[in-house]
Amino acid sequence: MSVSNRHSIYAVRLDDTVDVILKAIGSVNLRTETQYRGDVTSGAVYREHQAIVGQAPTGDFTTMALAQAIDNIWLTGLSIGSLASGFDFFAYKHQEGGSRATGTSHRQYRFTEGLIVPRRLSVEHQGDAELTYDVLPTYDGTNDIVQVSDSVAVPSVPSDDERFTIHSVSLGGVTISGVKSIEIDFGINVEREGADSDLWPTHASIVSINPVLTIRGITMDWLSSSNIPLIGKSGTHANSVIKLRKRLQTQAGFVADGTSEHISITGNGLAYIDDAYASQGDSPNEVSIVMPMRYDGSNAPLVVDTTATLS
Amino acid sequence: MTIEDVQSKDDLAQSLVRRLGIGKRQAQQIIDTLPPEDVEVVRKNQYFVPDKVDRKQPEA
Repeated sequence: MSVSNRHSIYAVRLDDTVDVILKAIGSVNLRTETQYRGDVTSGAVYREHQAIVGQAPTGDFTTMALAQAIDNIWLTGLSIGSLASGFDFFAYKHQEGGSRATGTSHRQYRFTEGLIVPRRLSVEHQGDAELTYDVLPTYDGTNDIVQVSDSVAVPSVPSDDERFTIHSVSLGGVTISGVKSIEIDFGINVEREGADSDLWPTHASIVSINPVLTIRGITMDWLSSSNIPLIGKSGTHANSVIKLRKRLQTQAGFVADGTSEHISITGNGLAYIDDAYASQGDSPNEVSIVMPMRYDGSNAPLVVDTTATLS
Repeated sequence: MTIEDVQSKDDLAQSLVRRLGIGKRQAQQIIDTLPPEDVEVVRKNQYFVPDKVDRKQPEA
């Protein structure tokens, strides 16, 4: 026997009336989340009965094309069932003795019902921001919860032209200087339900959305009466904003500040110092700010603009 | 941006993004399904949100 197949990641697809091919994909994962049962009974040494009693396949993917991804799937997620044909992962087949296979030789994993929700947005100093999404399919009553097809063609992928990094952070009207990393945990709790001992869940819904922002840096006076006091500082959409700047595609530097291609995320919440003094050896002392977000009665807890300018 | 600032469909989409936490493409899809007169209703009223998310009633 010999190896005849090798596959790698590919863009993912919202297969809609007008397809959206999400680009700059860094990872794709799919687990079957299989519940296996094989009890040993009646004093037997060996199990004699075994079954798969439940499966709740769970996937995730990451992308660095933040603007494209956010425009398609933001805080309240995307219903896969709202798409004309479903949501697709692809496994991109390699050509033996070449690079990539052509034609209808690739593998597709299709989901036709369920939810896609953002899980985490993270970026470090000089790094590229990355957005992670969870894919939580359900059974549509007809098709397998995950439909695997070989012999499919992969769609064309749009130009890989988006990378974003840290620009600035302001919380409660205070400019947070020297930011080393930004992380948003979207805090989206999705629950899938099934019944009648069916193998797959048939209902998915968002139970709660409680995003939390974490900022890390080495500026010790983030904790101060003029910045973030010990008792915390309230922030609103008007005075709390994270700005991510877009890199130029083929050279050092960034898209001009006045060009509407950057990303701003505003939030309403209560910022407080978490790590006030974290040290290890000769490394710089670290400080962190945590800001759980809330609904202000009008705006979503996090409001994004993918056509922002910088100032 | 407030709803009062909305001047175009793109502004309206951004306003829906702000209020509903949806992606801009989703917002544009909502708008595209509305007849022009309803877009105008949406533009002038703060209470519109799609069925799947929430529905606030207009104030009397």
